[in-house]
Amino acid sequence: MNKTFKTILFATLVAIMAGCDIEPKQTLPDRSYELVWSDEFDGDSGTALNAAKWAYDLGTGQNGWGNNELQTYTNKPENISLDGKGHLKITALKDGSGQYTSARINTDGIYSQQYGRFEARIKTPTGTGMWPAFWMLGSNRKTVGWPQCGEIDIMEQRGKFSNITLSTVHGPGYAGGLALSKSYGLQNDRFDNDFNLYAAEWGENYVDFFVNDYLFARITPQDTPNEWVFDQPFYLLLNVAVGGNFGGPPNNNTPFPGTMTIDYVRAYKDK
Amino acid sequence: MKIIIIHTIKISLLAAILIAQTGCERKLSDDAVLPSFGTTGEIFTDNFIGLGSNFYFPFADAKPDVFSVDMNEGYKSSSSIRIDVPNATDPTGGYAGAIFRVEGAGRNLTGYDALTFYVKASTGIKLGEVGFGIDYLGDKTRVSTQNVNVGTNWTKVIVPIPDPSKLVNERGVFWFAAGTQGTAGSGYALWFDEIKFEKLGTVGKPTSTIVNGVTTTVKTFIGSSINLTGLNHVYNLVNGTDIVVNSTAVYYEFKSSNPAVAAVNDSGVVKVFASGTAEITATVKGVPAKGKLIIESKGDFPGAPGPTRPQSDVKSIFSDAYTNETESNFTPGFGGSTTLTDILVTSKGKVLQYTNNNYTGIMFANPVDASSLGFLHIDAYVENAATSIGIQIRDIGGNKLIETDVNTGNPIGDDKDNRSSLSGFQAGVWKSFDIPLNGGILNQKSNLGAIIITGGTLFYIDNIYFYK
Repeated sequence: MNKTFKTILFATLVAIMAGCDIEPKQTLPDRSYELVWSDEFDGDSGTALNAAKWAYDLGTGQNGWGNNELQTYTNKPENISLDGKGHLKITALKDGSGQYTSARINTDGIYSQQYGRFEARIKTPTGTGMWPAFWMLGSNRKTVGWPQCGEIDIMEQRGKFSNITLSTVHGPGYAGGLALSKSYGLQNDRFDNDFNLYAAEWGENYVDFFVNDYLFARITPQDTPNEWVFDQPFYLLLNVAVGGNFGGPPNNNTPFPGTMTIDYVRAYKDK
Repeated sequence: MKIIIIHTIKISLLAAILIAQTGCERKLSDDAVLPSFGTTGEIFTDNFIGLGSNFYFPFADAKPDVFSVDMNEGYKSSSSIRIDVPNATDPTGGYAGAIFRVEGAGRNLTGYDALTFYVKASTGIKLGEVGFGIDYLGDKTRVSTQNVNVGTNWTKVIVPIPDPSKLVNERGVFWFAAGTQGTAGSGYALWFDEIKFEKLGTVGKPTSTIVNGVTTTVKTFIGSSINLTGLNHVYNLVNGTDIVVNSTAVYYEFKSSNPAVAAVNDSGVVKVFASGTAEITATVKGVPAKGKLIIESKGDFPGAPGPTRPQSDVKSIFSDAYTNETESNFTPGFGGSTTLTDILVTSKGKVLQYTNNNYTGIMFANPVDASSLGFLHIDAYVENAATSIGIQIRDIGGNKLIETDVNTGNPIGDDKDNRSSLSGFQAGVWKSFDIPLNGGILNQKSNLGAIIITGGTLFYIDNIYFYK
């Protein structure tokens, strides 16, 4: 499968970064990719993920996966399963005693890639404390540790502000609260209303972030205060966290179950 | 609810609008076509938009003359609606509350997703309740949100519409109720501006509930009717706030799992027809609402003990055994009351059923002179033995008006009352109470005007009469 994507003229990018009026249609030069890995999430309702493509992160991690997150990750069907309509559903649940469960999956050791286009079509959950994400980590994380391994967050959202999506890179000296983060907002709509296509196009010395094929942010080595750590393979992750340092805890009005529905995840490499 | 139309207010408002229009340098040309307001969302921008001339109706028990158009204040303008919320002790009404109703044909608001407005106050307050859909013509589409934070600077408030497709002919376009519970009884000024229906696109899908989102079981009997309450919609707005909207049943589709036992109508009233169990659930715009009501019908209702006193010793309010002394209003519709009152027709006669009671009353059409009588008799039946029902026998004094401090519920003016409670029940067994006419009304019981009934939640009463 071949697919041609376009990227942006530098001048247009500068205008966007300066916060001026956004062009309704961007002028993007050709950038050619071919599909190398995907999951379309076809399968019967309630069935589990394809184990040849994904692994589960389970439990509570250390310090709530490093962020004081409140959920316990499971691989139970109520937290993660196919819906029989070509989607994967990751569902954050609150039980009768106020405990949260959810799911997080990754391709660590199964599939990783250096550079290319990485996209997922996702309908995100909403509500204070809900923290859905589609992201990547450096495959050398277990040897060099985080944040030296690098992290590329293609999509993460605070459910409290469901019309804003964020894309972020983390590296040594620019991680956590110091990470390089860009946001993209909707004026008359919100991300939980429908599916949206979140993508990163990553090459030597740049990571470009897109929502619905609109390029809203580019991060380059000039932006990072320290070492650029994005010249090695990364793997993919999908999860819905509850609470944590990013968006704070849920409240009594947070809707549970909170479901992230993923139509597909696709990865392309330079043609 | 009684409608009070304040003509003087209307006239001053019209004058204000005329002033506003002369201040604006635009005139209608001779061939201008009058616009159709069929789908107009604006209610008040710099003046009222197409409401007609007779649109302001204060609530019957609210202070009527609180409304004006302020030509010195406004959100990015110099005009706004000003409401002077009275002191709690104001003799002409202890709070401000009114509806704005389109005169003539209503509006089609199906293209909008929220009522929005800007509001500020002379001091930080919580605005008691605000919304749309009260038209005094059934209030079928009533929607409101409560305890809205209002500061001294303009803030935009968003009241999402649970299902805009229901607003095809909407006349009750705005209403509010503002009291002084948060200001220790002191009045203040409140301003509204830019009141309009908007298509925001950002209100999102609500989490809707019936019976407040929980599973509630009601043990009941053939012939009873139960009003579904706790009809709320929680929105997670993109400004980071959550808003809870309360609505009528019109935005819901209800379903009974066993319509032969209990059926539910479009107004959210469940009627019980046979013994057995039925589950009542609902959807809003096709999305299941949280919460369910389980009806456990025990069959026929046991009758109350039959009265034995002679009619000549009795002045009756409600009993199959006696002629009534006076007609009464069993559904006074007090503001804030959650009570559903129903007259249950059983094989053994009529019984009063109270569901979800917080406070209600039996208002006598004519005062009852009990100066020669000593007791009030009431038979009561509960399913929960721990139930306690408050009874306040009110004498309304020589002026024959019910006068109540809206903040405390205590009688004021020349009113007096006697308060007692019905308790010590056995579940599923009638108990008779004989309340002495003493206390506050020992020496003032010639103008008994009402029995106020508080708490108890779910109970049945019968044979309510005064006697020697």
